[in-house]
Amino acid sequence: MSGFEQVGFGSDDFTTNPEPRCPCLLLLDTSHSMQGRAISELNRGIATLKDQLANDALAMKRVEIGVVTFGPVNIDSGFQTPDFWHPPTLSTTGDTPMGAAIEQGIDMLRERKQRYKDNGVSYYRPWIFLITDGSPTDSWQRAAQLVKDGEEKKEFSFFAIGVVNADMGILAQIAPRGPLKLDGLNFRELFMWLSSSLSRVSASSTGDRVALPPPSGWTEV
Amino acid sequence: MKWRIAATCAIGTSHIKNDKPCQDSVRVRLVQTPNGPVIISAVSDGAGSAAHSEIGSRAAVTTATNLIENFLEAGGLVRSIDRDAALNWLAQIQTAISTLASEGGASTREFACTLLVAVIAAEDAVFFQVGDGAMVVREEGDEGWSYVFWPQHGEYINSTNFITASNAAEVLEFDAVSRRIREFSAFSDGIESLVLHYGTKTVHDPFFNNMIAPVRQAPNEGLDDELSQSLLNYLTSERVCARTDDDKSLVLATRYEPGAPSADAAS
Repeated sequence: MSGFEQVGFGSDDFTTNPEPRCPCLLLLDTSHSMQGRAISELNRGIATLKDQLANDALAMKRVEIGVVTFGPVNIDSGFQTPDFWHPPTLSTTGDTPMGAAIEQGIDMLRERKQRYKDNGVSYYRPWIFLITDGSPTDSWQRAAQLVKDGEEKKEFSFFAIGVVNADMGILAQIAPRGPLKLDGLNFRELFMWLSSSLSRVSASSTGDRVALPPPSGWTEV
Repeated sequence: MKWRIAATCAIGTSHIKNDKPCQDSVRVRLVQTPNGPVIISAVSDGAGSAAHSEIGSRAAVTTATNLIENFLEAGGLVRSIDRDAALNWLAQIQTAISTLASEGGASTREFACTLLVAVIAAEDAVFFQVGDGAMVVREEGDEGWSYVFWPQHGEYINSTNFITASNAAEVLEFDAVSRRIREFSAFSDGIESLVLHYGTKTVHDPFFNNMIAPVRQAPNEGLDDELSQSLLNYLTSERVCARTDDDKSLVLATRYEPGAPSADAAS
């Protein structure tokens, strides 16, 4: 994949699709340690996300997926509704600049919200979904502070998922909600849960709290 | 110049899917006063995240309409209703809901709901609202429809204010007008996106023009059951459900009579 943002025709078409949007940003670790089964299961999981969302006509109009991989930090796809989003086939590339990836992601969401406002489209609280199997190889303290502030101001909901040997201690310092540990390589179950959660959130009306399905089948007990 | 009314609540497809009841409630009353008929409309949308919000919304519209009906029957005038009166009613509605909550051993928060109230007399009208959804009116001589209050959403479309929250009195919007309102509609947030343009903050006139047409043809004064039933059928139709999966409430009221000279006084 090249580094520039690929935008399909009509992927940003607020005129033909005035539905409120629910942006979901995937921050995906593609460092060398993800080589082998981990990356192939992750790829399978991402494809599942699109397939599952396709079963929900409204989610297809409302959910927008964005993908940032690290490292190096790369915007794989800007925010697009699932019908325009092509799940990438990721390969492992480098180290783990998690801090830079989080900062990049928060910037992207800020820009996206502005696009919604400019186009008179309303929106739901965005989701950031970080998936990593390691520990950051860059400075992550500023990112952690941004996440903490963002969660406090309800700018987004931040979820951190640790895979295999991930440094859960550092993830706990980054994610105020507390990180979750993926059971083995159950990426497929994780993305099925994400899909049904996004369906529920993007269909929710008044009320701040949305009851999400329990994260069963993919978290380590 | 008789008010003809159609009103209904339709369960959203997402509520059917997730085994939730319809959490919207609507109640419309037509009260005969010495100064002519007065229409009272109350719409309430129970919070999707609250366990007993369908009970909350039902209590809200029942209590609101009863209080206002009692006020009118005791000789109260619509033009004398001010913000304090509305706040007083709000407090009594909150009390009714917290009584229900404590009887059931639940927290008031589990009964969270919005409330949109209109009281319309011949020459005056009063409106108050907490939360999302909206009321729109067409005045004598107006071509189009205008909203009374823009829906109260926070930054996110699925956040709003509730009458059960501690800040309800502060966020309550109130407006009293001395104008002749000929047609009126109120709706919950389930159909907001079909009838309002968020970008331009305007009302989608064609929707209301089309929907009010059959109500104008209704022969009898008051709530028309047959029309309300066909309104329910429309709101649960494939066409509408393809665009919204939430509960939907809609009140349509008119005292416009086809063929009547437009400048005549309301009786």
